[in-house]
Amino acid sequence: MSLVILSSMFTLTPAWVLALSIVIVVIYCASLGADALGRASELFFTIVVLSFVIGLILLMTGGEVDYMYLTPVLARGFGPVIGAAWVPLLWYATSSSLVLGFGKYCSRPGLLPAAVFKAVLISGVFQLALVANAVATFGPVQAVNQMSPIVSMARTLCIPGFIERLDVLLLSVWAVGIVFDITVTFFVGTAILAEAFGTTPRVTALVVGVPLSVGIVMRQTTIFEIGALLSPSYAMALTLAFHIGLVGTLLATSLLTKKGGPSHGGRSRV
Amino acid sequence: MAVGVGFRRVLLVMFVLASVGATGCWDRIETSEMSIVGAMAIDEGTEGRIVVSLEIIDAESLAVGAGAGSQQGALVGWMLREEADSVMHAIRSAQRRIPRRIFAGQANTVVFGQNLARQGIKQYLDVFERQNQFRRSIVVSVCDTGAGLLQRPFIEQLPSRTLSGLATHATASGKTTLVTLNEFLRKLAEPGIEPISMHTAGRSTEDEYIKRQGEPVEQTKPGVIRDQPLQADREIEGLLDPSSPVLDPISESGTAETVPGVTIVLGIAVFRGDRVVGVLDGKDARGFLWAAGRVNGGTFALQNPMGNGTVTYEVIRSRASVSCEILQDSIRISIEISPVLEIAELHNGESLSIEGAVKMLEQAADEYILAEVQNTLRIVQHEFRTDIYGFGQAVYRKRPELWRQIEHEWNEQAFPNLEVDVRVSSLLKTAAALLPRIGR
Repeated sequence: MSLVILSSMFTLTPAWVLALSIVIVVIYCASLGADALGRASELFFTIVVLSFVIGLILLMTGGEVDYMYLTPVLARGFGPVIGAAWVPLLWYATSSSLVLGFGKYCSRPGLLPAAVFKAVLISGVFQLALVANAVATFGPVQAVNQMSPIVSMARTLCIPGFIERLDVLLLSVWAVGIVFDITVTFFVGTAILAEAFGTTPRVTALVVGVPLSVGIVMRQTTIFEIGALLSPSYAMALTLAFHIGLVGTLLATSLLTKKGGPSHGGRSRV
Repeated sequence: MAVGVGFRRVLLVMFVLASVGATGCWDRIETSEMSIVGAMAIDEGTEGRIVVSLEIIDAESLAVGAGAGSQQGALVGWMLREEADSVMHAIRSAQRRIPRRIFAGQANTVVFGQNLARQGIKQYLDVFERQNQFRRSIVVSVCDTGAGLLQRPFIEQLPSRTLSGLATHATASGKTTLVTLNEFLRKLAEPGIEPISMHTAGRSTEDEYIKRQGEPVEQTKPGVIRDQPLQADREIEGLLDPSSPVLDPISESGTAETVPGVTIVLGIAVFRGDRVVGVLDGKDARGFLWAAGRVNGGTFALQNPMGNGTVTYEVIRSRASVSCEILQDSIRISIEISPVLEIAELHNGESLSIEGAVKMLEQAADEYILAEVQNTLRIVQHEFRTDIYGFGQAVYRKRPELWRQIEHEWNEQAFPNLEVDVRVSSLLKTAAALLPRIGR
């Protein structure tokens, strides 16, 4: 995300400054607890969804979209489709597991599977709409070369005197969404650790967050490494590591809790 | 509780640090510190280099002029020219001569001199795609007289505004079309279709000069289009040859000197890949635009099929669809054109009362449009040999595996020999504000 923001808007800003700003916001938000995150998600979800819907409507009416570029459908069979869908599919699996692992903090955990299913469905539909519009805007050949298709699509729009640079607006919304996503991931991780060690999520967030932020500041990924990180093999390895880590951590938490008695430090319900 | 207080203190320190390192500080550039580029032009330079011209807008003067009633000759913009190996290199080099940071994110037009465009422009488009500051909605134009951008502004205060205004409103003539950078890049990349752009020229107009002196306008000297392609202007610094149609806005803007010459839109520049291979102007351009479904204005006049006089049709809009039929040993293309027309002017109004008049008028329009389309098709198929219609794309969509076999020889072999069936079915929607006359 930092790379996209830096190359789009803040070309003179050092990468570590942006990374640090994001980490600080993430640690602070995660430290506020599940209640705050739950309330914030309702607001952010509305803002992000509305922004993308309005953006798509503007794009579709802007004259640059030609849906004929979506044809011929499956000209090279299912191979390219599966190849392209593989990585997002793994991301969805990771996100779903993450939220399902969040169930123990919910007052009505029984509703969680259905909610996760709906969320994945909505995200999938949005992703499909974005991909379809990117292909229709740039053509298939150019679409695959876009580092950030949303920003590039927004660059095709200009309503003089009203919206001169839609890309800046959409990029901001996208950044908010990503930061929130990272926050939730970070929160779940620290909450599990907090429970295991009988501390509060706040303390854990700080204890884990500070060294993490130092690591992030010291090591920034360059654009030339992104391709490898987005490859199916890397995504697969990451998903496996995440699930093994999540299950392992949950197991360890459970064992530690049993051994030392139940710990409810800082737990809140949403 | 103690933990909570400590935590807040730590947070406070972190936020103070964050505010120091706020991202905006590095990239903060006030508007008053910016040199906003309104439009760009790229011409052939010497020894394989290019000459990049940047129109720099003085936003403050422009704002004052707009609010207080602008004066003729007010200094609202400058032109910077730089010769370099690449576009970005030229922009950065031009920075040596202007005390504000050059910002090209607001540029709305990029003009390529025809000389350069005939050699290929793909390498110079990379920067517009790669750099996020450039909009993909920039209008792409090819100018016969080199950096047509340098023509003096006309009615508008800035050349860039003149150009963007022309790009928007010249389409009402039905003889040109607006092509954005995004469309150009898309067609350049996709199989089975070749790009086009707007085609402009700097035109020396004596009449314009007379108007500016407040004298009666007389058609003393028709506009002269220079022989094309002209050599691109290679003067980097200083004044240009007074006879050059490419004016020097530095001198011009500074002194409000009245020098004749305005940019006009002629039609369409036709590309094969990234190289211009020809131009379609006037009716030739419209002949293509009918087939592309892009005529959304303009008029054409015919002999009234029901009697004496002339009937002038106004085009309200038109649509077109291309389909292909793949036979055993050939490919047949069909173009269906559906223009919606109205009678703009009729010199023999009584003739509309004749039974079947509307049908006859529609038929006459169909024949006229068909002739225009076929004429342009002949030029493009046999002279330019470049598929700007997207017939190859129709084949690709229908039979991708066949397309892969014929793709490499499409423009040279298959496209010029295609059978193209054009059908036009006009709809004469209104007779404008007058009713058809019945009787005397």
